[in-house]
Amino acid sequence: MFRYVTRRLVFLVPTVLFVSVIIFVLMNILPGDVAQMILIGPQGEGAAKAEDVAKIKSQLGLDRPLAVQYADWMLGVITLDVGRSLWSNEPVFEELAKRFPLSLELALMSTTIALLIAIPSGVIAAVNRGTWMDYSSRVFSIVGLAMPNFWVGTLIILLLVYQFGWTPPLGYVGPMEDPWKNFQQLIWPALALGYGQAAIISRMMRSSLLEVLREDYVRTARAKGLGFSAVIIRHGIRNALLPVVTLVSIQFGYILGGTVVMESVFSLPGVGRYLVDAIAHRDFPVVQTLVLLFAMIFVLINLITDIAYTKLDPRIRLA
Amino acid sequence: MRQRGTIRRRRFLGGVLLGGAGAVLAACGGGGTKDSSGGNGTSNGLTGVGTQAPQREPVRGGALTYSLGGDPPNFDVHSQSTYLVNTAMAPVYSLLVRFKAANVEEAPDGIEGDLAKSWEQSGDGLTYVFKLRDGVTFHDGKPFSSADVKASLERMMNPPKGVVSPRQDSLAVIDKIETPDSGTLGIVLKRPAPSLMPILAQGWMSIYSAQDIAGNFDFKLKANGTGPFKLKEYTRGNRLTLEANPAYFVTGKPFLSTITLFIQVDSGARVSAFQSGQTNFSLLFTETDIESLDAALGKKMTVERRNGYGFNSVNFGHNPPWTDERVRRALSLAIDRQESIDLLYEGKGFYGGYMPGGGGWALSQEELQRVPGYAPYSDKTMAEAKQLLQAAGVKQGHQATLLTRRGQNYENHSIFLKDQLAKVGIDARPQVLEDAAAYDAFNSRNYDLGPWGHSIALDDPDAVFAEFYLSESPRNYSGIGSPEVDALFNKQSQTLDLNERKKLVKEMQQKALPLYGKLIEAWSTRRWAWWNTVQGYTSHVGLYNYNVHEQTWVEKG
Repeated sequence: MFRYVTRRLVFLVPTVLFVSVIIFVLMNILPGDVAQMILIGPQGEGAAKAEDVAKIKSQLGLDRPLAVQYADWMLGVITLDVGRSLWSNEPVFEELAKRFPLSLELALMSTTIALLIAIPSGVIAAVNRGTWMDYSSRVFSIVGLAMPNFWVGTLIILLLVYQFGWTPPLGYVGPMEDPWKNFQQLIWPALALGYGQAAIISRMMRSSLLEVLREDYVRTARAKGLGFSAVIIRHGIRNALLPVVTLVSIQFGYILGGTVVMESVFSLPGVGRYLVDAIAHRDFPVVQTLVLLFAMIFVLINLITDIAYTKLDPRIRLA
Repeated sequence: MRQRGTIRRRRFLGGVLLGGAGAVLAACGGGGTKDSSGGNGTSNGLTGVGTQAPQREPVRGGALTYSLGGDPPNFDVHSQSTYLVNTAMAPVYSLLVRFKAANVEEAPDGIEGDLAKSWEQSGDGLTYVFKLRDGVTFHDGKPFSSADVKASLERMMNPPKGVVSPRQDSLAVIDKIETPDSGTLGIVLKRPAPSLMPILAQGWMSIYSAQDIAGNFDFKLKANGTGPFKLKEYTRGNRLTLEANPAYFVTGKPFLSTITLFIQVDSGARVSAFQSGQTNFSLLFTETDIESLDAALGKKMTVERRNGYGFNSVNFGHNPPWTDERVRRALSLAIDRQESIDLLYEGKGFYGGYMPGGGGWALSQEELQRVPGYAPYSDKTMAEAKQLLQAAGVKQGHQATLLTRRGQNYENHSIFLKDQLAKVGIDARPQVLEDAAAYDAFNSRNYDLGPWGHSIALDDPDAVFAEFYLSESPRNYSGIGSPEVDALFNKQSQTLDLNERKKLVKEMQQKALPLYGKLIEAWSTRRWAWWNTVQGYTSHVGLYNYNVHEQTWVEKG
C-alpha cells in the first residue's frame, strides 16, 4: 500500500507539469488581456488607450518572454508563492485560503445530503423493484436529473422570500465564527446541489444493487436462511457500492470547483466564482494556480477512491 | 463664480493671501430640508413607489446595507472608472469641492466646498485660489493640508509608473498647483477652463494623503481618506464594510454607524435580498425588478428615477460599407428609437444626442430632430434609408456582424439591432464574445457594427466630448472625427461666458452628430430604491458623484 501510494504521488509531478503547460499556453492564446480589462473595467466603463495598455503590461511583467513568465510562475508554485492577482493585487494564496474552506464545506454538506437521500432511495428501489416505491424513486431521480441545480437553488430562494419573507443572511461567515448563521447560509445551496447529486447516485445505486442481487452468492445467502440485513446490507450494498464510490468522488471534485452559478445565486464567495472571474479578467496567476490545484485535487481524490476500493472489496489489491 | 475686472495674476493671489477668504459659497455638508421626491425624477410621468414621511430628526447609529454587482477591482479611485470602486470609496475619501446634495442635476452652479471652505477665480479665468478647512485629519490621524490636494491632483495629472489615470486628459489644462501655506491652494491654468470646477467636483477626484503618495502606500488594497466613513473590512466576493469616522470634520455627521456593501452578482438574488430586508438600499434595479418589489412591498419602499447618464449606441468598425457616411445615416434613419426605449429600457428611456437629454447642454427635441438621421422613425425615414443604401451600393441581403458582449442586456441590444437592420435588407449576425475577447475585438476596430452601451460621468461638454467624440478620443471606437468639431471643442472649452459657451456646444453637437461616428439610440433612466426606514438621501442624475451618504440615516425597526 505504501509503495502504491508513494508511486501515485510521484506521478502527480508529471501530471501537474503537463497541466501547467496546457493552461499557460491556453491563457496566452486566448484573445483579450488583463491590461485591457483593467483599463476598461468589469462594467466596460473605461477606455483602453494603446499606450496605457503597454504601460500596465510592463508594470505587470507581461511584456517579458513567455518562457520567463512560465518559469517565474512555476518557481512560485514550488516555493508556494504564486504571486499576486494581476487584477486586484491581492496574494493568490491568501485569497484562496479564504475561499477554499467554503467550497470544501459546501461540497461536504451537499455530498452528505446526497448520500443520505440516495443510498436508501436506491436500495429501496432495487429491493422493491417494479412497485410504487421503485417508480417513486425513479421519478425522483429523473426530476433531479432534469432540473439544473442552479434553477433549483433559485426556486428555493423564491420560495423562501415569497412564502416567509426571508432569505439566507448575506455576508458569508465561517462555521467557527457563527455556526448557526453559517448553517443558514449553506444549507440551501447544499440541498439544491445535494438533490442533483442524489438523483444520479440513486440511479447508480439501484442498478448496481440489482446486479449484485442477481449474483450466486446472494442467492446462496438467502438459501442459507440469512435475514434481510445480512443479505442486503452485508452482502448486497457493500458490493454495489464500488461504482457509487467512483461516482461520488467525481461529483465531489466537480462541486469543489465547479458550482459558480450556485455561488452567484446564493452570493457565496467560493472558489468557483473566483476562477470564473479570473478567467473573465485574464488574471493569469489566479487561473493557472487554481487549475493546477484542481488537477492535484482530482489526482488525490482518485487515489483515495482507489484505496477505498480495497476496503470495500478485499479481492482488489493495489499493485 | 464671481466675475471681476481683469487684474494681474500675482497681484490677485497676493491679495487673497493678505485679505483672507472670499465669500463662503456653501456650508459644507449641505443638509437642511429638501424635497425627498427629488427634482428631475421621471421621464415618463411616473412617481416614486411609496411615499416618504416628511423630514424628521436624524436617528444615529443605523446601518445602510446594499448590494454591488461585483467586486471593486481595487481601491485606487484615481486609476479606476467603474462604479464598483466609486460607490465603495466615495464615503471614505473627501473631495476638494463637490456637487451640493440638493443639486440633483449636477449643474455647474451648484457646487460647494468639501475640503475647501471657499474659492475665488481670477477675472481672466486662469487662477483659482482655494481656502481649505482647518483641523481635518486623515483616518490614520495625519493632519490634512494643501500639500495633500496638490499631491493628489498631480498624481492624477502625472500618474506614477504603472498607474493609469483616466482623468489625466481632463486635468491637462492645469499648468501648476501652488501651496503658499497649508490652508491655501492655488491652481493656475494654461488657458481658461470653465469646466474645471465640475471636473474637480466629480466623485473620482479623491484627495489622498501626500505622505501616503510619497511613501508607496498600497492604494489598491488600503484606503486612508478624510471622509465620513473608514474602511473597516473587505472580503473579496463577500462584503465590504465601512464604519463611521468619529473624527470627521463635519460636526455631528455622519448619522450612520456602518455602511455594508454585499457582493451579489446575481440580479435575482439582489431583488430577493432587498425584498426580505437584508439590504435596505439599491441603485441597481430594473423596471421589472421595481414592479416585482412594488407588488411585494408596496408603500414600504421609495423609488426615485432620474434621467440616467447611460445610453445605447452603435459604433462602426473600419470595414466597408460602414465607412460610407450614407450607410451610417441610413442606419440612423432605420432605427426606431421609441421601440428601442420600449424594448431595451422597459419603456423608461428618453431621446438624446451627444449630451444627455434634459441636461443643461442638450439639444432640444426640435433641434435634435432637425439633425439628419435623428428625425422620429416613420415610413419616410425608412424610405430615405433604403434610398441611401441603394445609392451607396449596398445590396439586399448584405451581411454584417454585430460585435456583442456576452450578457443579457448586450445580447438583447444586438438582437434588437438585427431586427432593425433586417427592415432595410441587411442580414446582421450577432457575434457574441465574452468580455475580454469582445474588448480586444472592439479596440482593434476590426468589426462591422458594435452595439455598445456607454455611460458618462459628468454632464459637461469637456468631459463628454473629450472621451467620446473628438478625432483622438479614447472611446471614439469608430475613429470618425472632424477638425471642425475638434476646433469647436477647443473654443467652447475656453469660453467663460455661459450663454456663449452653450451656443458653441450646440453648434458642436449639430456638426458632430451627422458624422455618425457613434449612433445614439436612446438614453436610460436610472432607479434608486430604498426601504422607508432609510432617510436623508437624494439621488443625483450622475452615478458617480454623490455616493458619500454623509446625510443618510436609518430608522430603527
